[in-house]
This record gives sequence, C-alpha cells and structure tokens, in this order.
Amino acid sequence: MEFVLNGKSLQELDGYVFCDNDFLSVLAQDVTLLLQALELFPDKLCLDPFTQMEFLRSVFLPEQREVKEKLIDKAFSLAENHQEILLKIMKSAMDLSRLYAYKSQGTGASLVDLLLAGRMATVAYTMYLATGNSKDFPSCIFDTISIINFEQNDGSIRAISIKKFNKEKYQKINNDYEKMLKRYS
Amino acid sequence: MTKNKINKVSKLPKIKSLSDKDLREIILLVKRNAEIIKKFART
Repeated sequence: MEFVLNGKSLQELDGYVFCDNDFLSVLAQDVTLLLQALELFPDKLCLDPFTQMEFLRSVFLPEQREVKEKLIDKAFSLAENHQEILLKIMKSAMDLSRLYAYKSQGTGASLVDLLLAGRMATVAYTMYLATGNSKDFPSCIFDTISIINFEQNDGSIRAISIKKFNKEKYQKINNDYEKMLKRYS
Repeated sequence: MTKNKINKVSKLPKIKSLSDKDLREIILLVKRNAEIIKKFART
C-alpha cells in the first residue's frame, strides 16, 4: 500500500503532526505506510498520551502490548501532559464541545477526539492532526490542509485528513455564540 | 513544584530523530504487530 496525496505539500508543514488512533493503527501494521509517513513528516510525528492510551487499551496479549509500547517509544514523540497543560486542554475541549453543539457539527466526537481538538486549540500554531475521522474535527473550526489516501487490502480507498485549528474561525463562531447567549438572557 | 517551574513546562513534545538502527527496529516491530493481528484474525 502507498499514500496518494491531495493538497498542500506535506514536507512544508511547519509544525508537529499528531496521529489519531485510526491513523496510528494503520501505520502500526503496514511497514510501507509507516516508512512513507516518516518520510512525509520527518521528525514531526507525535502522539497525544490519550491516543497512546486508546491504542494500547484492550490489548490483552503481553507480547502485542510490548510490541506496541516499543513502537510508540521508537517512532513517535509523546506530547507533554503536565497538569497545567491538561487543565488548559480540558477547558478548550469543553469550550469546543459547546461550539460544536451550537453549530450542530462534530457533536458525535469521541472524548479522545475532543481532547485532541482541545490540544490543537491550545497549541494552535504548531499542531496538525492526521485523522481518519474527519467529522470529529468539523470544518466550522478546523481547516483540512491536505488529504492522504491509500488502498486497503480489500481494495477500498481510505482517506486520512490533515487538520489544523483555525483561530479566526473559532473566534468568529465564539462571538456569534456569545451574541446568541446575550439575546436569550 | 513552584509556580515558576510549572510555567517552564513546554506544551510541545520533544522531537526525536531516528537513526538507521531505530528504523530497522521499527520495521521489525510493525511486522511483528501485523503477524499477531493476522494470527488472531484467523482464530
């Protein structure tokens, strides 16, 4: 399998590229894709500790757990989860969830995806997210910078979006939301 | 931990560069993970 790219040249990305669990699971079982990803995002591939937890949870075989832990340790950089940062991320995630509901977009986002979105909002200028779950990062707040496609073993095509938090979009929706609150108070 | 020390904690990950040895290890780990997944898909 190989990646096919649409959109911005990925080597030009000026920040960290976080992987969500979907993308990580794909990379963790296909050497060609992982090597291509390491080439596309040289020294940029990162994981959020919540994604790490999602990737390792429910792994009941000790050998597979060890293999997955070593793979994360070798191939990815892990984001800091100091409590000061975590509190900011949780607040951002909660704010975003309100705006998702207000815009009726992304309301089905999983808790981990919401926390990833919260981290993107906290470190807005330096973080991209590679995700197979684009709808959890709605276009009312996030930009799709690029899309990478690949053919799966069953012949179907899978798309991975490269997302970035857009501060201007966020501020505009937040202002609309505040105005709405004033009208109803 | 003092307030000053807390403020110095970076929000960003410490990026690591991969050596050829790291890459060889990563390839073996991915292959092993794929084998385990395949084995359990069959059973």
